[in-house]
This record gives sequence, C-alpha cells and structure tokens, in this order.
Amino acid sequence: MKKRNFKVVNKPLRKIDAMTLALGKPSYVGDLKPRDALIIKMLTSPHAHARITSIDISEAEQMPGVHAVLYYGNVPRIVHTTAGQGYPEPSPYDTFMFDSKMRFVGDRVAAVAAETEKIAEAALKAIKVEYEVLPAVLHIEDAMKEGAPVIHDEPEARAVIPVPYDKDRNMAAKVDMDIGEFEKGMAEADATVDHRFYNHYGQHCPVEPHVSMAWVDREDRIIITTSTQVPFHCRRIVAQTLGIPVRRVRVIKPRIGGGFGAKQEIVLEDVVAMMALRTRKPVYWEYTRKEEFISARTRHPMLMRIRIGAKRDGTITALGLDCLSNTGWNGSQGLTVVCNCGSKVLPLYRCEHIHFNGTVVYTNLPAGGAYRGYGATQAAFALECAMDEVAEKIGMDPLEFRAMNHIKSGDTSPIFRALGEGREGVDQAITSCELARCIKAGAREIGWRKRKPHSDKKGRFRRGLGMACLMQGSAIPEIDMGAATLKMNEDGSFNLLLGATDLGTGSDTVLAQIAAETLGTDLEQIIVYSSDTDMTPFDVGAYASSTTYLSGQAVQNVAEKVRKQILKVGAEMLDRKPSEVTVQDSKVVEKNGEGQVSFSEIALYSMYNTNQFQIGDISSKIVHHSPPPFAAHFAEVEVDTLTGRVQLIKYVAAADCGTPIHPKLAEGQVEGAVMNGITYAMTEQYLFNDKGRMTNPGFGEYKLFTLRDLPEMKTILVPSYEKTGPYGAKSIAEIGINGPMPAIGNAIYNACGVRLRSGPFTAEKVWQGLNGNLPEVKSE
Amino acid sequence: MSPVSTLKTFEDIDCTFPKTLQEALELMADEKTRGVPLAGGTDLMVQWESGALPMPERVINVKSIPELREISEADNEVVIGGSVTHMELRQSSAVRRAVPSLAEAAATIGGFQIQIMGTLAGSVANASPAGDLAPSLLITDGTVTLAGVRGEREVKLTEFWKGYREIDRQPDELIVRFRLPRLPEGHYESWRKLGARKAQAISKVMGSSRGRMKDGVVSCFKVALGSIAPTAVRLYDVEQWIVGQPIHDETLKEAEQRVADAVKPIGDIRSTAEYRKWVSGRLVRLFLEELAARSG
Ligand SMILES: Cc1cc2nc3c(=O)[nH]c(=O)nc-3n(C[C@H](O)[C@H](O)[C@H](O)COP(=O)(O)OP(=O)(O)OC[C@H]3O[C@@H](n4cnc5c(N)ncnc54)[C@H](O)[C@@H]3O)c2cc1C
Repeated sequence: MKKRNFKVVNKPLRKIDAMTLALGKPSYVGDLKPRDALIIKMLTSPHAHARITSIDISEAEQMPGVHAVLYYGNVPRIVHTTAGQGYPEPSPYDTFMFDSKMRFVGDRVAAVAAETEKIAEAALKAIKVEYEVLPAVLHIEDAMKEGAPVIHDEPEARAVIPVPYDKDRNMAAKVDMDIGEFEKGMAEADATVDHRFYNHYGQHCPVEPHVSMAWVDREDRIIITTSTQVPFHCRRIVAQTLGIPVRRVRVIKPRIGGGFGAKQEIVLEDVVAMMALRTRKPVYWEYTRKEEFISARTRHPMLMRIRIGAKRDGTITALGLDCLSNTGWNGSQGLTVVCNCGSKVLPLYRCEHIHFNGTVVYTNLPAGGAYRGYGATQAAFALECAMDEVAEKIGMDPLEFRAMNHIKSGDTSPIFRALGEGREGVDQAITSCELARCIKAGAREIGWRKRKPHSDKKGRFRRGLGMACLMQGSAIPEIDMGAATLKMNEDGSFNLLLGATDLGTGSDTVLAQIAAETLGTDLEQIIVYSSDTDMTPFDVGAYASSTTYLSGQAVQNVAEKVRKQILKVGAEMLDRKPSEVTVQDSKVVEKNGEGQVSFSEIALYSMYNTNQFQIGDISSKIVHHSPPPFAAHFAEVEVDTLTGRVQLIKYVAAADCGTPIHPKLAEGQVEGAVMNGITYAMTEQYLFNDKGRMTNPGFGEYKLFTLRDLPEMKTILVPSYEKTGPYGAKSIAEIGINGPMPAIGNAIYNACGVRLRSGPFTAEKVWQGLNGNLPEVKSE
Repeated sequence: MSPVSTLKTFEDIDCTFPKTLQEALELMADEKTRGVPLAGGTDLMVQWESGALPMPERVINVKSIPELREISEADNEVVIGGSVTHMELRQSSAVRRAVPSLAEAAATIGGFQIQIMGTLAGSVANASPAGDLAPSLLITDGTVTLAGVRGEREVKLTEFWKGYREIDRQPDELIVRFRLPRLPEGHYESWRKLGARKAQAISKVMGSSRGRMKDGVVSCFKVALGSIAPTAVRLYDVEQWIVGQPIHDETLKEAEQRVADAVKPIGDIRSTAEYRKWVSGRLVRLFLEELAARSG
C-alpha cells in the first residue's frame, strides 16, 4: 500500500471536545435543564398483555403541583413507528403515543408533569386503572402458533413499505433469499452441520439513559433538546405523532452520553413535546435505569438455525441461516435488523448455494431496536461457531478453513444485491479487504500455533483458543444521506455545521479533521456545531456505521467547494489565475513564486473589500457502496473444571477500517465494541418471571463486566485504503461487538469440549456441558 | 394526609450522631429517641431507595462511635469493633493473622467504595444469606457482643443468625464487638467466593474453612458455606465425618458428595439450585485439597 502524506487525518490529535468534557462543563441534556422545568413521570403497565377497562385521572390532575396528565383519552391517536429510520420507514406502523391496549410490562399507561419528582410520583399513585388481563406471548416459538394471542389487533397497524406483514399471526416482518440450490449444496458436502443457536436479550446500557426536554417558544414552536442519535428523524416523527407540521418542531442534540443504537429511536420525545404543548412550560423527562432496561430498546433476541456443508478439501458447498427474531411489543427495526443477519454476515465466505430466511415476530416482551452490530452480532455467533464445527469435521484448522474461504478484494457476492434494508440491495465489489492480514496478525499475537485440540487437555484449569472473522458495512447505500455546511470567518476559521451526531464517538473531531485536511488548515480552525434541525443541514444521523464514511464524504465535498472559492479569491488578491495558486498551511500561495495571502486576509477581503460574498457552501452525499470493514478476533480462555467458571485471559482484535482518520479514536471504538461484546457474552442477561416481568432491571443484578474483569486486550489496526471513502476510510464503530460471542464460544470448546450455543457463558452452563447435560437451545 | 406527604426522601429522616457508646445506648433505650442503627448505609440506603424497607423516622449513626472502631489482639483471640469497615478488615495485620479468611472475604465485598463504607456489624445485622463475612465468622466459633443500657450480652455466632434476615438482637441493643478465636498454630484457612464477576458481585456460593492435618489425617475441620440456605451454615456432619480421614481422591469424592447431599439451596436470580448444590461440594473439595497441600 502506498504511503500517503496526510497533515491532519490519520493523526491522533486531541479530541476537540476533550477539555470541555474532562472539565465537566455543562454539556448534556441533564446539565441544560431549566430550573422551572416540570418533571415527567410515566405510569406503566404491570401486565404483559392487557386492556385498560377503566382509567380515572381526575384525582391526579387536581393535585397541587400537577400541571397535566396525558393518557390515551386526551392525546391524538396517530399510528407510527418509534424507529428513527429513513422515510418511508422499513419498520411497521404499530405504535401510538398512548393506547388502551398494554403490550408488555412497562407499556405506557399515563404520564404526569408536575413541579417536583415527588409530586409526579404521588400523582402516578393517584391514577386509578383497571385492566382486563389477556393471555400473553412470552416466547418467540409461541408467537406464530395457531391460536396465539394477537398482540397488534388494532386496525391501524400496517407495514408502510411493500414487505410481508401479518399482524394477525404476530408476524412483524419476513425476508427470504435463496441463491443457487441450497439442498443440492448440502448433498454435495462431505460434512455438514445443522444446529440451533440462541442470541439472548441485551441492552446498550449507555451511561446516560434516555433524557429529553422541551418547551414552546414565543413563535409557538416546540423546541426539543434530547439525547438522540437521529435529530432529523426525531423531528419528523414527533411532528407526525402530534399531527403538527415539521416546521413547528426544532430538535437540538447537545453532547450525548452514549447511544449504541438505543437512541436511534423515539422513546421520550413525543411525550415531552406533547407535554410542552399541553402545559406551555418547559418539561423534562429522564428514564431511570430500570425504565431504560424495560421500556427503552434491546438487542433483538433470535433463535437461529445454521446449516453449513463443506467438502474435505475445505470448499463450502452450502450455507443456510434461518433467523426467528423477537421484536417484542413493537416492530421497531425488526425487518432491517434481520436483513443484516444475512447481508452483513453471509457474504463473508464464498459459497454458491445460499439459503436465508428471517422471520420477525411480536411478543409481549421488551422491544428490540437498533443496537451496535445490528443483526450481524446475532448471525456472527451462529455462523462463526458453526464454521469451527465444520472445520473440525473435515479435519481442518479453523483458521486455515476461514483463510481459504473468506471474501477478498475484487470479489463480489450476490447477497449484496439480493438483500438490502427492507428492499433490494446494491451490487458492489469489495474494493479493500485486508482480512488475510488481520488473521495473520491476530494469530501471531494470540499464539495460535500453540493451539491443541481439547482432547489433549487435562487437569483442573484448561486453556483454549478461539477465533472469529467478521464484516459489517459502512452506511446504507442509496438510502442514507448526509450533508454539511461550511463557512469562513474573518480570522480564517470555519464553522462546520453538521447534521451528523457525535454521541461520544468523536465524530465531531473526525469530521473536523477531514475538513481541515481538505482545506489545508489546522484542526483548531474548525468550529463544529452538531446537530440542530434549525441550524444544521439534514443528516440521517449516527447509525449503520455511516458517519465517517458517509457524512465524512459530505464534509470532504463541501470543503473542496470552499477550497475552490478560497483559491479563487486568493488568486484575485495575488493577481493570478486560480490554476496558478494552491493552498498550504492556511494560506493561498503561488505555485511558482513568492506571493502568498493568509486565509484570514482572504476572509477579510471577501467580506469587506471587493466582490464581497460569504465564502461557504453546503453539500450532501449519498453513497453507492457500503464497503465492509473486516476483522479477525481471537480469544484465550481458561475454564476451571472445578467450578465451571470461564476466565477470559486475552482478547485480540485485528481490524481493517481503511484509513483510520483518528487512530486513537478508531482503537477506542474497537476496544469499546469488544468490551461491549465480551460482557454480553459473559454475564449480561435479561431474566423474566413467568408473567413477562424483567426481574433484574438494574446494574446490581444485570451484570456488566467491570474493568477488573477485563482480560488483557490488544487492538491491531491493519490499514487498507478504501478508494470510495474519505481519505481511504471505512467504518469501525460496530464490527467489534460481533466477535466475542463466537470467539469466546470457540475458545471454551477448544478448552474443554463444551459447545455453548446460547449466551451468556456462565459457570452453570459450562458445568452442565461438562456433565454432558446441556439443555436444548431455547429462548429466555 | 395528601399522597405527596407520605412519600419520604432521605432528607426527611432525622439523624443523630452520638459521640460515645453510652450516649448511643441511651438514645436506643427510649422508644421516643430510638432510631435504626446506621453504619455504612450500604445496605440501608439501597433498601430504602428500592422500597424493600420503609424509610424510618430516625436513624442513629453508629459508624464513628470510637468504642466500635477498635481492633485489638489478645492471646487467643482478636477483638473487632462493630463499625470496623471491610477495608480495615482486609488491611489489618491483626485480622490477617488471626482470621485470614475474614480478611480475604472482606476484600471481595462490592468494590472499593463499598469496602470503605460498609462495616462488619452492618453485614452481620443485615443477615443476608449472601453476606460474605458470615462463613469466616462461623468457622471461628467466636461470639458477638451486644450492648444495651442494662448491660452487655455475649452470643455465640453459630446461634446468632436465627433465620432468613433474622438475628438475635433486642430493639434497644447495638452490636459492639466480635471476639474471634485466632487461627491456632498448624491450622489453615481457605476462602472462596463464586460470583458472576470480580467486583460488585453478590455470591452465588461462598465459603470458608479452618482445619488441620496431623499424621496424614484431618485432625480438625470446620467449614461454613453461604448463599445456599436462609443463613450461612456450618456443615457439622461433614466436619465430623472427615476428621480422622486421610485426604486422597476417594475421600475427596465422598466429601464432595456428602456436601452436595447436605445442602438444600434454592434457585434464584443469581444461579440455579442444581449448580449451587454441585459447586458447594466442589468448594469443600477444594478447601480440603488446599489444606492437604499446605500441610505438606
Ligand atoms: C454495590 C454494593 C455491593 C455489595 N457487595 C457486597 C458483597 O459483595 N458481599 C457482601 O457480603 N455484601 C455486599 N454488599 C452489602 C453490604 O455492603 C454489606 O452488607 C455491608 O457490610 C453492610 O454494612 P453497612 O455498615 O453499610 O450497614 P448499614 O447499611 O449501615 O446497616 C445494615 C444493617 O445493619 C444494622 N446495623 C449496622 N450497625 C449496627 C450495629 N452496630 N448494631 C446493630 N445493628 C447495626 C442496620 O440497622 C441495618 O439493619 C454490597 C452492597 C452494595 C450497595
């Protein structure tokens, strides 16, 4: 790969908001809460499935300090989706601001806005509700059975794009894909595997839970300040849900304390906006951690059947994946997540005969939503474990087996066209893939050569090595759009206005780096503002691993346009043709000569002297590729056969993300995602009672790894150059979370011969496995 | 009463800070001034907040009463004040010499913040079946001293926990100190905790043992497990059986089986009954293996 001389990108510069955040300056929604804001609290359903037969809010309404009580009887009934996605949304319309039907333990009954939290809580207690309790669907397998209770029996529920949807059978979405002849491929194989895997519930656990506030300004517009990944979708959906024009809504996103997909969803904003309208006062609503677990969003749990056929020489003859996905009480992101199980995972290995089915069902449990990895996490667990199982059957090293079969630069896959996001996808050839080098580098770091089969291992403590290969995408091609505005100031600084949302990822810094590199100036000269629907141009928001790749190109485009304007003015000032000058270190300089003018002189000239105009522009971008980042992950575990406990010793993640625009932040994304995936694999777990109530909704009993639990971690960035991306970049934020389930699962098998097909990998499960009585794989 | 005024917050609680034990006992003696004893608050604050316990009218802060803060060593025992914190337990060389498993157990409680706030008496009085300090206290055959204005009373620790979250304490009494016989020469202690992660993990099963080997056989063995019954328990039958036995694969297997048969754990949010039963036996096996290894 040829060496490029970048000045600003590909450098670990100081994150532009590092100081502000380190000093704890007011930055987050909670910091900005007006002193007189009313506090919102929500009364939620104690039943998984019920109908409200009577509700009396009068006592609560009359309590001193209570300003409004909202329930289904006094708000608009407009069907919509809570999923923050492009329009028309691939998620079904199946949600109302409030409804008389309760669809899970935690569903909205009534909201109170009061002067203090204490009064609001007392008012909730004063609301009298009677329910007719209905039989509930609490397991994925039961959802589509004959006679199952119908969760969305309201007439309004419907799909808004032409996709299969059958609410009478609790089916929220379905997708099928067949390439070649799958059964024939299986028949040609020397060895086959056919197993069920289960991906359990998991939550994003952002440090900052969902939090929103709103007020009505003097022009009668609703100003919402909210912790969101999708300010523009939020504006659109709030306007829709309240039945008011988009022009009456403004959404401001300040700093965000983590989202990971949880905030690609309209969870609080509709109620906050409605309350502001109703009370004409600033209102504020923050989820408790318990509410975050139960009523926000989760990872779609999935039961999977994976089938792989292979020849003794290592050729994969057939690849089949059937996913039964639990979307919970609403269908948010159900279709697209399951599409990604196919499109972001199956192209990884070359194969002629591919079968894929995704079926998404409603249940009376917490709703799935977007979550880092977005389906790829689920499918990678099944695929990468099964790859090891086939490799063992044909007697090949699992690393060699993958190295031989994985997709390479220049390859394409029919899956790219066959599976898009709720519609046909976009053909693409892989333009950059350094997976082979990722595998080599990771194998060296973990010491793969010393790996022995589990049958050779004796004694109480048994170590094992496992690996997994991964891919993801970078933005949703031909659907997602990003835009940026750039304008120049007197001192040669620039305002970069972004619809793209930095939710703690560092994208403000990364995008400013791209602008500075293109303009030929320093990072300090770029003043970033993101995001505000009144001020910044449209961007779909932070999801689908799109910000660097997609919004980054919008920034690069606008910076190129502005650079041309600067060159033109500079040339005019130097009495040269634009082709005779160039930019360099915040100056326009003559290519052959001594003459130069600074950016500041250029800005002053264009503002105050001659041919005045505002140097600046706006640019937008859609992409036609979604170049996958690739990664090879390796885990070393030690199983204590005395107790069944699994100790993670070391974890290596080698990733190819093209040019890392900010290498430290890219590493941070890998480490963060890997930690996220490790704790999901090892300890995280939703526990439900037989009535569908989550019994561990708090950090006390919903276990996340602490720093003390983490293994030795090593991140290796293997550079490549993605020619369709800004300065060679592709995505890195999601892919890392997909590795730990399969890599650790494979390592446990290699340590002690126990194959775990559902997480988390607890001592209890390993013990059952050691005794040869692991129960059949099923849902929670 | 309006519904608002029935909702209490921490600020509504009346809190007294007695400077001496005598002052505290006098407050406790009178129903009008009596309050809930509050030490580190690491149990109480959580229980009030979650609604598991009602917020009281009054609390008596016992954490900084000087008489409750002391650790002293006598010939055969170590004496530990009720308000000694987990951090102090793990760092005290006196405790580490006299009851090493207690210091080890204290070091696994919560995280550093909890260890700095939480106290020995708090853990004992909270009487959770998952309280990590109980097994190490039980294997010493020591006592707890309670005091009221009428005087002091000493209770055997093996008789102090009456049932699930139930202790032998009168409403006017405070726990003042623990007297724990020190580890005799040639004896060894073991401690293990099984939790879902390394910090901030309530135990699935945990336990301690104190024992000795002489002339190739076990001459003394005391073992207690927690999180497997309404209170932490001593396994007297297993203790008696193992005394006089050599430690080898067969006796270990049998010990393991006897423990698993003896305990009747339940399944809950943290683990299953079956796993707890099995792993209880495994822990005792491990303790015996360690005893044999250390006794050389
Ligand atoms: C995040 C977290 C993690 C935890 N992890 C663990 C763990 O890993 N292992 C574990 O065992 N525990 C754990 N705990 C529980 C807790 O820390 C212990 O039980 C602690 O020792 C209680 O001590 P305290 O001083 O804070 O008690 P407090 O909360 O002050 O009081 C607890 C009880 O003791 C009574 N009390 C206190 N002092 C006296 C006295 N002198 N006389 C009479 N009664 C008294 C109080 O009235 C109350 O009933 C954890 C708690 C938290 C919040």
